Amino acid sequence: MAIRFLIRVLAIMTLAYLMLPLIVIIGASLTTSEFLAFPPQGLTLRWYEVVVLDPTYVDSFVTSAILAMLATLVAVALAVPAALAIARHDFPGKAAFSSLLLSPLVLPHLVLGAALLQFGSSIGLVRNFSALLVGHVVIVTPFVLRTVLPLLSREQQTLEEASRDLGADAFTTFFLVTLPQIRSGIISGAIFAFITSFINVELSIFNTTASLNTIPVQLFNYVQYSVDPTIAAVSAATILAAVVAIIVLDLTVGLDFLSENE
Amino acid sequence: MAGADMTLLAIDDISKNFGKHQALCDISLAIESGEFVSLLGPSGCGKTTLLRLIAGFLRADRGTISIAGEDVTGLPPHRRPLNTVFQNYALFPHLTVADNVAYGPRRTGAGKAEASRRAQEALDLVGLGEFGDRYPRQMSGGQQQRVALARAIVNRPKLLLLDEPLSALDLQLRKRMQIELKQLQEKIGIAFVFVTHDQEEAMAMSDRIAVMNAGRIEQVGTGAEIYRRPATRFVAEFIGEASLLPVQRTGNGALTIVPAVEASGRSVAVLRPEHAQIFAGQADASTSCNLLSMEGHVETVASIGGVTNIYVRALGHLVHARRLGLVESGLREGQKVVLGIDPQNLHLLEGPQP
Ligand SMILES: Nc1ncnc2c1ncn2[C@@H]1O[C@H](COP(=O)(O)OP(=O)(O)OP(=O)(O)O)[C@@H](O)[C@H]1O
Ligand SMILES: [Mg+2]
Repeated sequence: MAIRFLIRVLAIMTLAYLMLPLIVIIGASLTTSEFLAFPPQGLTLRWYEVVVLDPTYVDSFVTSAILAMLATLVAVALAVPAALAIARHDFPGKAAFSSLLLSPLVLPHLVLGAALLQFGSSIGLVRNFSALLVGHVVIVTPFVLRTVLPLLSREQQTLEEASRDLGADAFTTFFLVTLPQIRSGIISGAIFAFITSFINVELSIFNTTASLNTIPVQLFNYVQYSVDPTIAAVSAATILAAVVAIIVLDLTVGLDFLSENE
Repeated sequence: MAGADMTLLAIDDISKNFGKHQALCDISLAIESGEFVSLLGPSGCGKTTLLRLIAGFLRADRGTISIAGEDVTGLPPHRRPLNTVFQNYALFPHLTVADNVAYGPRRTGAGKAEASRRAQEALDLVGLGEFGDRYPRQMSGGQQQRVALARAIVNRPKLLLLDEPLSALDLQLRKRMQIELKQLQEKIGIAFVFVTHDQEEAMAMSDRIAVMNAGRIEQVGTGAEIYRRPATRFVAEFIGEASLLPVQRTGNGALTIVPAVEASGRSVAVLRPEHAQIFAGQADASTSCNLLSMEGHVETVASIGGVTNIYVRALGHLVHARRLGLVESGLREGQKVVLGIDPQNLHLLEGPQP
């Protein structure tokens, strides 16, 4: 009994620790003062108005959203076949292939960004949306690969064999058996991928320009010169977008598999 | 099907290597329509590999497989006219029991209504007609086993492959399922290739048994045949219990048993424990004149349930004898006895044995 109570207290404290910064940011975004203040001095939506009326913010926001979405889609399209190849087949250089695909997880993004810039400039792929996309795909693909690969177990392969045995060709089997089995891995990997892309500064910074900017880079540049409640408003809007995205995901595909008890 | 060739499955000279490891070597086997054939052998002898070759999940390095006269060696699994019951059932966890069973008919062209009607029929057949709406994880092991069976027979294949389908069940359920499975097989007339490493199971269920060892088929025959007339030393030792005694023929053609020290290079006689008689003294043994007799002493006496196992050391051999019921009063460890063997009960493996 006492232990249950303790666990409960601990859980609430942990949640509070995680939530507090968010509350501070949202609170600060509502302040009437010209500087960041928490608790907010008075309540106003003025800073949101500033953000919404500033096309550079809106443009960066849209760029980031599209970039993260496309990077995630491409990552899924690359990671699922790659995972199938790694889990199902033996080929020369398999170990090297899988560690290559997973290496962006351990490489500093700054190093990766510099390398990509070097390489990109030799083929003219710099400072445009495609250059951003290529970089983001590189760093987010491992997330999907990592969440899908463990689901392609030996038991899962037997299910595919059962499907083939019952008269389904390889193509049908993929959609009717494999895909439902790895669905949870694709979704959780995609969530990580999307967030990773959406908040990335280190990699994007090499390929952004005044007219092509992502929201985190925009914020990063802004806080170097001034700190005022607009950045709190932008941050709060980002948090809100994430919350809405999670709710939509939960309502459409269901996220209950992310917690342990079914 | 009337007349000539009743061979349903013909396996010709199949070999399969995994890298340097030879998993199957020159396997040939013919199975008739409606026949129940067990593949029996120790772990790692290639039973599953052979089954996977028949199903099309593996490609043979050499040899051909044909089903009902059609060469299927190059066909992918979904084009082969057979179905499989997998060892761990391999039920689709994201589909209901009814949808699991309807999966086969759906893939082979049946409409939704037709498929679910046939699924219901198959589920009724295995006694699970009421369980269609459940998911596999909501069923017990035995029930899942039946669902797997229903799913495998719903397309009415001529040939069903089963890889140790009962090994995950407890002993009671296993015995019951053996009987049910056999009855079902006879009722629907599908040929079964049944993998097991439980010889009692193979004996109880099969029309014929193929005994495998180290990638080869050592012998194919009915349970009685492989028990009474094992073709090789391996089969003799693997099926049931046996004492293997080196023998030689004397001038007049009679058999004599050779002492252990001179055993190498001799033919070997297979003696089943129920055929070894034990006498307390020489006089008793000579009453029946045509018995081979050996003097020795009792090394171990062990009673288990209704039978007593007696091990007698004679001519350096350890001979296993078995009696029904509890041990006779006089028999003690260390006691001198005479072993009597009717030569008619000896099965000879001719030629020098390793
Ligand atoms: N994919 C594979 N790659 C390499 N070796 C394999 C592969 N599959 C099986 N083998 C080997 O081939 C041999 C036969 O394996 P198989 O699974 O057919 O044995 P089995 O008779 O079914 O054994 P068990 O009774 O334990 O199931 C074993 O030595 C095994 O290690
Ligand atoms: Mg096996």
